Amino acid sequence: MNSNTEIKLEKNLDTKLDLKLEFEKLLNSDNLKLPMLPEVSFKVINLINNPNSSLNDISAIIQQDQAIATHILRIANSAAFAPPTEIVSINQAISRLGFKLLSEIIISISLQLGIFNSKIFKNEMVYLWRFSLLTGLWAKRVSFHKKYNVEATFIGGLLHEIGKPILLNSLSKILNNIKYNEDEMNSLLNEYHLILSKKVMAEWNLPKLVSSITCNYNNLDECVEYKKEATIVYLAHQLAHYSLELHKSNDEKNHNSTNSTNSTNNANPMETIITLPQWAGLNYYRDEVEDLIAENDTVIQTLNSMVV
Amino acid sequence: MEIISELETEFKSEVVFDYEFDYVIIGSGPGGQNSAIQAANAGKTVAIIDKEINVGGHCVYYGTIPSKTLREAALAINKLKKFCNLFDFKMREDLEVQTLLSRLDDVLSAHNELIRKQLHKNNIEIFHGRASFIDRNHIQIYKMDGSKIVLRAKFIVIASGSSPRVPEDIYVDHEHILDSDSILNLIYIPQSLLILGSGVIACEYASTFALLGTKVTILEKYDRPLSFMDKELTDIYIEELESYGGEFRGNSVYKSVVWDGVSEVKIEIESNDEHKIRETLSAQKVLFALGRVANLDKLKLQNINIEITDRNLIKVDDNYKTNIDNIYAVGDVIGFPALASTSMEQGRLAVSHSLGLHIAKKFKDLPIGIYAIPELASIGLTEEQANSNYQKIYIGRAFFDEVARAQISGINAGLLKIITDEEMNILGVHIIGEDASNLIHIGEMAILNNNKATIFIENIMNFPTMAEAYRIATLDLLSNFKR
Repeated sequence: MNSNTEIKLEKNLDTKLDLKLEFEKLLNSDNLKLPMLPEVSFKVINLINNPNSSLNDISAIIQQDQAIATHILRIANSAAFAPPTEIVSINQAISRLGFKLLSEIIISISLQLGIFNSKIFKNEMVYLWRFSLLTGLWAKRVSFHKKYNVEATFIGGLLHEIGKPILLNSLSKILNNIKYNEDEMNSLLNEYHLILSKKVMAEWNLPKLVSSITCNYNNLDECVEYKKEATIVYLAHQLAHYSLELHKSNDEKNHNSTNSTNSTNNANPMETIITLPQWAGLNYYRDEVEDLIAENDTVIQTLNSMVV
Repeated sequence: MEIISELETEFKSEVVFDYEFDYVIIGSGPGGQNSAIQAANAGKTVAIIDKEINVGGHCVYYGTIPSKTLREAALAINKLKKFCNLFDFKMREDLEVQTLLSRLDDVLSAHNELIRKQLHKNNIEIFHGRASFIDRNHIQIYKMDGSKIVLRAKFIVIASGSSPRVPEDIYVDHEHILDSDSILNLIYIPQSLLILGSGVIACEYASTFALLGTKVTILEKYDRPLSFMDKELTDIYIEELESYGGEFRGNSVYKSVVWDGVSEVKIEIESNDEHKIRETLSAQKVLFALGRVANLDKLKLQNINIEITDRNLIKVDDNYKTNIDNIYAVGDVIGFPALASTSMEQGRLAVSHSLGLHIAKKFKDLPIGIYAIPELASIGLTEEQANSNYQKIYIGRAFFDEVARAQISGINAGLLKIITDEEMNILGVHIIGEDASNLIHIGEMAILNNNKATIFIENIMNFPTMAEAYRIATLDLLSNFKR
C-alpha cells in the first residue's frame, strides 16, 4: 500500500491561478485518485476491530517500522505518561502504554508521517495535524464524561477533516512557486474538504461509526445514524479551535508584554464554546462544560507528547 | 403558565419565584410520573422537573429499556442457533453491540413521546433542568444554559432516581472497566467479562452476555446471587448460567481491580472465609455493578434538613412522607426494592396521602421481576421467610418440563413454586423460566383476593399455556398436603 499516491492533476500554466476553479477541477476530475490509508493505520484499525487481536499483533507492526518504533519510545518516555524509569525497549513501551493507547498513537503517527505531510505546505500540515489530533483528544474527554464510546470518537475526531491534507497534497504540484491568497485557500479547504472526506471514507472502508462521524459532524441536522457521536466530534472540533486560539493568544500575550503592548481582543472564546447549542443534545449543563474546558492543559500536554 | 407574584404572601418565606404549582415533582421516572398524574387527576397544578432531555427517567433510558432490548436480541440469536441446521447460521466474530441494539433508538424515542403525551394530556408542566431546594416550598431549577428559575409548591415529591455507585478504590474508565450506564456503549461483544456484584443488574447482564458467547464470571461476596429471592430459584439461575458458559463465584471479595495497561483488567480476589485465599483473575472487560446511589447530591437537601439514612437514602414513613410535612420521596431515593413497578405505586400512594385520600389497601406484597435469562419473578414470602414465620408450610412445585406449552416451545428449564400455610392460604409464589414476570401476576391476584391455592385447580386455564404450571404446582401441593 503506497501512502504517497496523490491525485493526478493537470498543471495550470497560468501564473494567475483561479484557486476555486482548481479545487473544482480537482474534485470533478476523472483522474482523481484517492490516497490509500497508510498501511500501518489500516492494519491497526483492523486489529482494534478484531476482538481476537492481541498485543503480539500490534508489537509485530511496530517492529516492522523503524520510524514508528522510535516515536513510540519517545512518547512512552514523555511527561504525559510519566514513566517511573526510562523506557528503552518496545516491549516496555507496549506495557506502559497499553493496547488501545498504543493503537491510537500508531494511527496518529502513521497518518502524520503519511497523509499529513507535505514539503510545500509544511506549516499548514503541522497546523492541520495538531488540530485533528486535538479534536480526537477532546472527543475522548467529551465522551468520557457522558459515558459514550471513547474509542470510536477519538478516531472519528482524528479523521474528521482528512479531506484537507489530501487536498493540500494534491494541490501542491500546481501551487509550487505560485503565489496564492492564504485566506482564500483556507476558505476553499473548508468548503471542499468534506466532499473529499466522504470519498475517502468510502474508499478506506472504515467502520460505519467512524465514517458516519466524519461525514456528518458538520451537518448534524441531516445526521440520522450515530448523531450523538457526530455531535461529540463537532463539539471536540470547536474545543480544539478554542485550545489552539488560547495557546496562540497566550503566546501573543507573552510577546506583547515584552513589547509593552496590550491586546484589545474583546471576544470571549470560552463563552462562545459554552453557549454552543449542540451541548444540549448531549445534556451537558453549563457548569459541566466549564469543568470540561478546565481540562485544557491536560489535553494540550497529551497533544504535545503525541506530535511527531 | 402564569407568572405569579401576588400569592407570595401565603408563604412565610420571602423567596422570589417565577411559577407556582400545587405539586412539584423532581424526576420524571416511573415514580415521578405516577405522582404527577395522581396529583393532576385530583385537579391540582403540577410541574415535573427532569435533568435529562428525555422524560421517563435515566434508569429507563440507560438501563431498563436498553438492557431488555439487548436481552431480546440475545434470545433471538439463541433461537436461531437452535435452528442452525435449517439456516446455516453462524454469528459474526466482529458482531457490534450497536447492531444488536439497532431498534433501541426507535424504542426510546417512542417511549419519550408516549410519556410526554401522557403528561401534556394531564396538563403537567415539564421543566428541563437540575432541581435544588431553596427551602421546603421553593425549588430552584438550574437550566442547561446556566440560567435559573424558581418554582414554589405546596407539596414536593422527590423521585430523582439513582446512578451507578462510583467506587473509591476502582477507576471506572468506561472503556475497560464499565458501569451499568456505559456497558452498552461497547463497540464489540467482549470475549470475557467479569461482573462485580450479583444484584438485579449484574445477573441480567451476566446471562445476556453469556448467551451472546462472552465468557462471563460473576464475583459475589456471599454464597449466592440475588439474595432476596427464593434460594431454589437462584440455584436454577446459576445452573442455567453455567449451561451457556457462565460462572458464578460466591464468597469472593475483590481486593483490587486494575487495567493492566496492555490488554486485560486484573482483579485480585480473596475468599470470604477464614482461609482468606487470594487469587488473580483477568478479563477483557469488567462491569462494576455493586449497587446504585440515590441522586441526592445536587438537591441541596441540607437547606431543608431532610432526614437521611445511614445508607444515604431519604428516610420516609409508611406513607412515603419525609420528616418534612409537605415533602415526599419515592422510588430509588428511598431504597429497596427500587423497581420501576414499585416506584409507580409508591408515587400514587404518596400523592394520595398528601391529598388526604383514603387509601383502601397499602400493598404489602411487591411483585418482583428480574429479566435475566431465564426470567425470575416472585411475590410474597420465600421458603426461608415462610419457615421462620409459620409453624407449618406446604410447597407445591411445577417444573416446566412437566408443562405442555413449555415442551412445545422447547423450554426445559423453569420452576413455579407455591408456598401456603396449613389453611392453603398463599404465602408466596416464585417462578423462574420463560415469561415468569408475566406469570407472577396470576399469583399476585390470588394473594390480593385472599384466594386459597385451590383456586388454580377449581377454575379453567387455557391449554396449552404456561399458566397451567399453577394447576400442576397446586396438584403437587395437595399431594404434599395429604401426605
